[in-house]
Amino acid sequence: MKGIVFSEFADLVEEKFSPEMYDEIIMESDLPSGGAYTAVGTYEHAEMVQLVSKLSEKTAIPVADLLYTFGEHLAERFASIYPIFFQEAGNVFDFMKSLNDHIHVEVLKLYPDADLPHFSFDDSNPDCLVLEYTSERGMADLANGLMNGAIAFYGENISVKMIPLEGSKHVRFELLRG
Amino acid sequence: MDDFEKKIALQERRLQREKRARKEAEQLLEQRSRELYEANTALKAANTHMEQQVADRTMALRLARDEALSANKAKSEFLSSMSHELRTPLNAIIGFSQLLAMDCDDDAEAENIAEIEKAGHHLLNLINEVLDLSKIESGKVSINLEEIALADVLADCRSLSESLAKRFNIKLIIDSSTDLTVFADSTRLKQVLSNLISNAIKYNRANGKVTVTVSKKDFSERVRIEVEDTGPGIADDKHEQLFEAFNRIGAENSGIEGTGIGLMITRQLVEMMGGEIGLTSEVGVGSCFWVDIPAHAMLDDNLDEQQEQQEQQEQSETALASCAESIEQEQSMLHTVLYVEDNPANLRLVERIFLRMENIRLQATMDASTGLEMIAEQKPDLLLLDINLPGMSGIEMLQELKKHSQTADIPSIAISADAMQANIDEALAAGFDHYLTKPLNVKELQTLVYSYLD
Repeated sequence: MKGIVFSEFADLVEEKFSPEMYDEIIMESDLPSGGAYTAVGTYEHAEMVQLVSKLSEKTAIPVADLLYTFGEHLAERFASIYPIFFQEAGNVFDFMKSLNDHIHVEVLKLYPDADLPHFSFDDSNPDCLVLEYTSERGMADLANGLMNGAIAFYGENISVKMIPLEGSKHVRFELLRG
Repeated sequence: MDDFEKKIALQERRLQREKRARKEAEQLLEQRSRELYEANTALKAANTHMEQQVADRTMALRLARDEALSANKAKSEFLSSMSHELRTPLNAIIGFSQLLAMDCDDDAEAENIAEIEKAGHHLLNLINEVLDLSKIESGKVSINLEEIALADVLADCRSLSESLAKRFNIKLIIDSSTDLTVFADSTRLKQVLSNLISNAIKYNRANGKVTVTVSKKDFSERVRIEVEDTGPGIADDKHEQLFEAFNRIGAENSGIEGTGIGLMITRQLVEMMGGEIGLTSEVGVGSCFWVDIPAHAMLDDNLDEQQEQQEQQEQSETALASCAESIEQEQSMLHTVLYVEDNPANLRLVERIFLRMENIRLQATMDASTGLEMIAEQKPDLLLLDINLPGMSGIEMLQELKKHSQTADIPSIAISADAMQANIDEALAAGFDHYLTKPLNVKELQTLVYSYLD
């Protein structure tokens, strides 16, 4: 998993909870990296799972909610770090449709070792975009938060319905306009 | 442990983590930089390699193109000189067969002689067209574009083609009542249309029809001339081959005379005038060849100037003609004509021709300087000069004669196997009154000689 996800997570935990909270979950987890993350590095996905689980344990907030909030935060950060992708697409549907064939292609050029989730889409209905998320990491809640973050960025009136097909590894999202 | 110490310990750990992260980032950065540097070096090398390849290919292409160009030029020049060499013996063949025909009383023999002459003329046509083609291909054809009235061109085409139409019993309909003008070379446009009309007549059905029409669509920059026949028609897949050399589609064994390069020349001429040629055809119904010619000049500068020059030329020609007329009236009964020619066969032919002409004595020599002496002594009434003489050309001879008042005014006819317009123009500019190309047409020569003497 790319380092930016870890460093953003650290910032978010320190900001929403406290530096002490972040220090505690680091200390209480068994992390090969020792909890020292840099945005340009790459770390085990299992570290993120440990961190989120530990945070859920300490705060009594469900993992799904934590991931959703983290997704929203990441979307906001991406929009400010990589505004070009958001400007190019111009709206939520086009942005989502450009994920696989454009955004992820560019990400791989920059980070050839990145392991990215796959999104297939069906846009036969102009008012409802159907996306299917597939990833071994099962971070559908994070994806949900990311989508809602993107909708907030564009300021569009779109609701997201999440339908699990195979736990959180294979999930259908229905984005309904209006 | 109090709060303060806890905070210190926390900050200590954060600092350690930040340090470690920074080191890792620096390492990654260093690695990335090295990778970038290597990729950049590889790119530069690839680029240099590619530039070299492009340069090599360009050079190879240029060489190939130069070779093709020079090969084509050599071919054209070979054709041109070959045609010239062929015309000289052909002169003797055609000329003597014409003479033989005049003397012949036996019908069967006359027919044989006619065949020889016909074959000679066919060969001559072929040579002329090969010469034309090689001139076009070597870029020696000059096109003089001007605004010309289509009615005049069409009227000329009609008179040029009427006898052929009659011979083939084809109804020729040319509507020349148009007030359209085109921007083209008048001579070359006539050549193009005559060729199309002649094809339409020759490759028609018995008692067929040839129709020539002119049209111009509103706002179109081009005028379309169509030549329609009632012949056998040409299948669509053969259309492009029509314009290739020596491709006489279906006519190879038809017994119709043709060289197989007429349409190729026609297309090249049309394209040189900025036009386009094509056809529509239906097998069993007929073909329609069309030519699109620009209606206007892109830039019509110098038009008035050209016209003025032309008018001046016409005026001086009329003056020359009336001058020649007054000289003719003063001529005595017995005329002397001097012929300078180094080719024995041609010399003998002209001597034979003159034997049949009354009141004319032909003096001849094969050498230019002897010729000059004879002219100074005898002051002949007319000069026939070959152009390609050894030592001194016919043009140089004439220039010498023009220097002396006694010989300057003797009318002169150039006789040469060079049929190229540039050569003809050069001779006429040097002062020749007329230019005849070999092979000589006996009757034409006789008529011309009489016109200077009577």
